[in-house]
Amino acid sequence: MRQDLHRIRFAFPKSDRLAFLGHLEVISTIERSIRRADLPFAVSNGFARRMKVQFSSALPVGVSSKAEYFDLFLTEHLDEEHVLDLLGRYSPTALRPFAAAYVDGSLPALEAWLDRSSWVLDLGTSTDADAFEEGVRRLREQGSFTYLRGTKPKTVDVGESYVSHGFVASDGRLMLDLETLILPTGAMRPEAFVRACYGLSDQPDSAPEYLRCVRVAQHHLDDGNLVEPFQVSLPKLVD
Amino acid sequence: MRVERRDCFHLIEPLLPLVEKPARYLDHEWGACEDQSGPFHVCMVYADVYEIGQPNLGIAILYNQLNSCEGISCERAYLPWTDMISLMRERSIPLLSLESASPLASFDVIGFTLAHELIMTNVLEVLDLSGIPKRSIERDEDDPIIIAGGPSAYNVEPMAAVFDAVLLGDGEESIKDVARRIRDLRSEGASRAEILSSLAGIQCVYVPSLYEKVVDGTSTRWGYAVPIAGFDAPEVVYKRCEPDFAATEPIAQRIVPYLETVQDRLSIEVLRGCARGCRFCQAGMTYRPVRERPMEQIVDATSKALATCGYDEVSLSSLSTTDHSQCKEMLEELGKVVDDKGIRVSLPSQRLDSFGVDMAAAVACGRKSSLTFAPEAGSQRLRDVINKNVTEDDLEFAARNAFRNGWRKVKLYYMMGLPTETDDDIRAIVETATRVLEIGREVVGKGRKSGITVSVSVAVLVPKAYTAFQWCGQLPVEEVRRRQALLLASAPKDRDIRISYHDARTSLVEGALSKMGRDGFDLILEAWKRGCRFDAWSSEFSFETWQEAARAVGLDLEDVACEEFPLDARLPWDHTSPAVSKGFLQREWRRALDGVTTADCTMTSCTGCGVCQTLGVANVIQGERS
Ligand code: SF4
Repeated sequence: MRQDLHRIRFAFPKSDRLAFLGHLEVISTIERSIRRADLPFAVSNGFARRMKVQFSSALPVGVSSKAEYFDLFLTEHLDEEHVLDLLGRYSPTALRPFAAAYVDGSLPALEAWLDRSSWVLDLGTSTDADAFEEGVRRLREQGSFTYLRGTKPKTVDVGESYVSHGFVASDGRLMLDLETLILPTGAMRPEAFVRACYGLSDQPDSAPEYLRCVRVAQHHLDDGNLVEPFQVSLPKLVD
Repeated sequence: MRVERRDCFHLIEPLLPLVEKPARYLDHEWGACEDQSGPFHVCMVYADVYEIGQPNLGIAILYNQLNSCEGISCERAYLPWTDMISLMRERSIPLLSLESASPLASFDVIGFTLAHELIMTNVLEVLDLSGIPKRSIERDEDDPIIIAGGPSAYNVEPMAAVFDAVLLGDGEESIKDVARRIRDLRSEGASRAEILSSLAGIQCVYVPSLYEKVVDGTSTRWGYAVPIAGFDAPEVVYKRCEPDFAATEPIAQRIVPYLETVQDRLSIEVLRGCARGCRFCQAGMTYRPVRERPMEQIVDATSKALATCGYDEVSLSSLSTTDHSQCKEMLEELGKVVDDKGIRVSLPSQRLDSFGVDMAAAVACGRKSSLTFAPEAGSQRLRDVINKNVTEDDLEFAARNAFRNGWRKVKLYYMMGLPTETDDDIRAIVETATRVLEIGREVVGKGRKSGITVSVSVAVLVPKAYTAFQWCGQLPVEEVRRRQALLLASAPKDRDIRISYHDARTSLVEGALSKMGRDGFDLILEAWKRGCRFDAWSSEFSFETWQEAARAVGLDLEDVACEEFPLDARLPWDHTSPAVSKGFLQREWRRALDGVTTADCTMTSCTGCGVCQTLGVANVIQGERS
């Protein structure tokens, strides 16, 4: 990284209707918010002169999140709270950043660095936890599964991507907590994992048509320890 | 009873995970007008998916105008994609507006923009999904008033049965006049018939139900329209024209979409109208006279709007941007504004005869993707016929400048099926493209690394109302195909020349829709009933269904599209006029056949099209055109 640039990390939600934005749509919306806020962002050189900004890994369309992250490279060192406030004013509410802090410029790119994700999926009212549990066991035994992403078949290695899971009942609904690891070869979509479990369970038809899914946290896995995205700095939060 | 106005987003929300690109249906974009308190409600509809319709300038202008009127609110609606339509039909969910997610049928006025002819079945789809009767005469007192406007409104006869009123020309003021008139009359308790009759008194408003079709020895088989006795409707409805273009809003589209649209950038309308006089071009006739926006206004508005919208690209849009008399200075000034922010400035296409060294350097401030030129015809003879006043030298000069200034990809647009066209003209398309490639290789060097490519795109001429070619028949499908094969066969075996052409059958349907009169509605309705919609999408277009529909109503598409009209016939669209005189068009047709060109009136003197005299307007040029 150029020495004269200042790398500031933001945390933002992806909520309400905007859960239905695709990753590129989130990126362009945030880049436009940054331009509207008139932040002194750095621009890459070369043929396509683009804003220097890096995002955490893509969320599938329809999946919401409590905290996504991006790093923006500024040409001036401005007060974090001021930057956060300014950007907040020009961002759609459902994507409005809620924390910001400068981080070390030499850290790896966010997408590869934040490799642990925690998810909550709503399995609805007609899923039996034991039956689903059996599906998970069979899938782990099988080791991998293949699903259609658009029209292309994609094979996922469950052994490496799956970390753990657990259940919580809420208002008569069965909620699944799922921990996954993002591999250099790609991320396992929680919905695909869950549908594969249903497929192998004894109640394949109890899967809800729409699986509501929220990413509740992201971490960096460092030698078995979970590192918070802002642990490398001190975040400034707004209420 | 009017359908109740209420927020129905909860009805489509559960469908969002099940459809492609759910961002089409979200609303809440940056810049959208959230306050929709009315109490008078208008909805502007672009009858295609969001990403096609959202950038439409016409709708954006009307949206801003109406939302600025006291007591009037305006929302937007687009046609959902087929996956969403199926789910909505299964669950009996009506079409909703974006901003308030209210059923379309609950609005006071619904306005369609007719961007092209192939959108007509989609208009019917919108009405059907909304539960609004498709024919004007079937609507109840309380139903919304359905209006339309846009570039394809100059032959609106095939859809005359659908629209309660049609607005011709610039909509900035007329939309407000129409909305206020409807609101006032409704509040006074006027009947639907009284409202429509009153609308016919507003300049530029055509109320089809007040006219009847006459077929006689002076007409074509489609007849012509005359006011029904007893109604006070004008014999000819002339378009509205904004004489003071600088007083209009420079940047109309201020809503920043979430998903990528077909023009995903800021767009500033730098001028309106074009007087080059290309004889095939409908817009060139219907948007006259030429009105340039002052450079200072353009630069100032662009810089402000880039800041408030956050785009990284601005397009200087118009029919012919490089004709702007201050184009070069404007590009230089804009270059200063966008300099260090990674913002690109783009032009829709460049004039061949004005793309000099200066212009090339000025445009070069943006990203050099590809540069588009439109010679339209391969030979000089044929370019004279169509009045495309550019020469072989212009093309060579422009290409050389482009390559010297860093461009590597050049796109060339041509047409096929032009009057008097021969096989030699088709071969000449390939020859000019080859010449451009040679120039590129001369300037940049040979070999694949130089990255020079020339893409040739060949459309089929569709004769349109109010052009010098409005009497012509379209080329039959088989003949188009033969010429397309000839084009391919004449092309050199060089991978750096890429040739593509339009589908002959889609063009034929477009031709039929452009040519028909009032009775043509039966064909459109029948095609829609048999499943035609999204006809402009090659994945959805079904020529077979159109053919079956035509047979079912006793028509033959080729017979309709390829028919020539006598030069002295009364035409189906004579009563909805952009104010270009028929005598001028007839003269242009004769000059075409003689290969005689007509000059651009912004560079010489008036060539007598009649618009300025009829409408009391004039060309407004900021500097000197040369
Ligand atoms: S009336 Fe004359 S000056 Fe006006 S647009 Fe027509 S040709 Fe040009």
